[in-house]
Amino acid sequence: MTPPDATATVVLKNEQGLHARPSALIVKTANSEPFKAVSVTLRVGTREADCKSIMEVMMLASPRGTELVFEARGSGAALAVQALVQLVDAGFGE
Amino acid sequence: MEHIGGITVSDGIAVGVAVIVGSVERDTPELQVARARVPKEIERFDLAVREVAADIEELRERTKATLGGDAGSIINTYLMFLQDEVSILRPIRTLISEGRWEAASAVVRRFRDLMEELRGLPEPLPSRIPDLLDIQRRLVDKLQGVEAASLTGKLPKNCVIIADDLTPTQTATLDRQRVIGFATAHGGPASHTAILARHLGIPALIGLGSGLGRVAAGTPVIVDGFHQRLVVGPTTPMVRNAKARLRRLKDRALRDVGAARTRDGTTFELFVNIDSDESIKSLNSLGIAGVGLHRTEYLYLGRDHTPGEEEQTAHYTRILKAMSPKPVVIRTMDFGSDKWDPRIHSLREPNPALGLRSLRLSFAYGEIFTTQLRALLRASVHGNAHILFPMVSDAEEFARARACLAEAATGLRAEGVKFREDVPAGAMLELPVTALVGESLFAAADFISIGSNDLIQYTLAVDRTNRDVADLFIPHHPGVLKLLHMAAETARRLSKPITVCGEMAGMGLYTPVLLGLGLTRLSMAPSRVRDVVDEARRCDDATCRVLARAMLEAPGPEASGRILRAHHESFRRPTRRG
Repeated sequence: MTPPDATATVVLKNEQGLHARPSALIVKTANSEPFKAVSVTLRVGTREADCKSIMEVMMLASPRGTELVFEARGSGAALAVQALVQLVDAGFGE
Repeated sequence: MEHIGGITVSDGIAVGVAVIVGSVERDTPELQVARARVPKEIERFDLAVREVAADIEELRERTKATLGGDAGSIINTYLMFLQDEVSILRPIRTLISEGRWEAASAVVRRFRDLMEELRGLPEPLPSRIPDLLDIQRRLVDKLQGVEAASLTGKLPKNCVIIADDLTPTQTATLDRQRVIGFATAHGGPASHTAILARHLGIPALIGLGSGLGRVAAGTPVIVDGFHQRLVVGPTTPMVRNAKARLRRLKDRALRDVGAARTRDGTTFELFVNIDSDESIKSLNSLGIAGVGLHRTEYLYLGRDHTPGEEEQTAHYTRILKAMSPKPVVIRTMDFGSDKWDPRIHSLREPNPALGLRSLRLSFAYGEIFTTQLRALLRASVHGNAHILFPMVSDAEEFARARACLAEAATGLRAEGVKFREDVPAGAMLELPVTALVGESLFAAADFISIGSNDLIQYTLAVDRTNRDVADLFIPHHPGVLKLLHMAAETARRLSKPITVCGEMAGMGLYTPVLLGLGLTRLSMAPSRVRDVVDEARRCDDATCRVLARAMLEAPGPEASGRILRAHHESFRRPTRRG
């Protein structure tokens, strides 16, 4: 695969980790209109998930303290990564 | 002519024609298709996904309006599953194109795998399994075309509804003027069908099973609630006979029952169970002591909105005023298990009878609960209101319910709204545990009501709507009687009024047993009052007590049943249902 156009690492800090609601927020962001053409992969250790798939993101079952690596490809990649990092940093508003 | 046996949830007789709603009984598919059929199956699958998404969006809008944004966001997660190309949609299309699975079979296979994976993950992820199950069910239903026929269209006169079970929406949109009876393959005694039937005072049978699938639309049928059966294609004399019985029943129901007393003059108190305020006027002429149980689920079920405080206050006020000064026991919402409102409780549980139901559900949806409690308190100034909490397990849970009531009262006081400060609050005994720890609970509650249907279900671990075990649902089981006796004794010691308000209370067969156990306050459907009064007049106090004692000591249900039959035969009267 081609190297990502943008990448960022962020630590998960909300209490319950990446359960259904935070996963849904990630997918919602990745699927939102401005990022339609961007493909975003979420990497946790050796595992990865397509950020447009709620099942894949949920199945990462990441607890609090996990290091999340977002890698985006396509036009708007940098903005997508930025939006996702902000979301995680804000603890998903929880 | 054919008879199909079922379970009566609302008695009476109806003579009419069959109207089939939806399909009856179906299996989860395991089908494969020819290669040529694959594109068609994929097309069907994509269409089903779009339609289910549209249904869920509609549900979201309704939920938002009644429960606020939070519940709406849960449903957004739901929609995301339906948009998940990578893990859900694409793999299912692959199962169709490469595995040659028929669309519904492919859905079931993929969801089975996903649920298996979720099950292995740490909490709270496995708690999403019911969501997936629900989506799978919706997709399969769409693909199998199991969308029930519309009931809003024109129904024939005197129609008997035949269905798997009715959904809340169907019960709501039904043309009530034309329906005279129900017969369903499934459903519980507290299902929408049952509640609606009792509310309308028309007969209903449930648990008729797959035999119902053979009934053709338009066939003449008789719903015979007294013999717990549906007669398909009855002969002319049978129809004539049924119509004559129907007339006699109507004449009898209108007369005053007179005083409720046993042969030796012991008086006892009869109350009625009601679901709505429609029939309240005719009750006053019945000579009853009050309303022993007003179920409030009907206020919520099958409505296009959750009733607000004003609407509920007006409803309770009407009933309280009509019955005043007689007491009216109003039970707070009792949802979950087989009774659910999609706006309040949309997720299916793997084991709903042991799940988030009844008072537990009210605690989980505090806002809706508070609205009801406020309305009940506001209405309390118009009559003799009693508030009853359903399925209370122990004194601590009761204290929590009381605290909710106190909080609602504090709110009203702060707003300067008038309400009665001393509204009695009671607990419903429906679980064996409640009888076991009755001492502290009865001391805290102002009154106790026994819900015998659930008490029997939970004591004997029997779902009476499950045909395979329904014959094990035995109200006269010595174990059930022991719990009733225990509750009656505790209530007597603590001088707390205790009322039986399950179906057992309205069955003449059990009247002498209940009186003998010391349960002298009975609440039943209005149609049962006369039977119970007649039965009690045959009894005397001492005989009832001896009967109860003998049944309590019986080694099992067969023996206690024999004792009960012998008692009734001694009056030269055949035992009969209720």
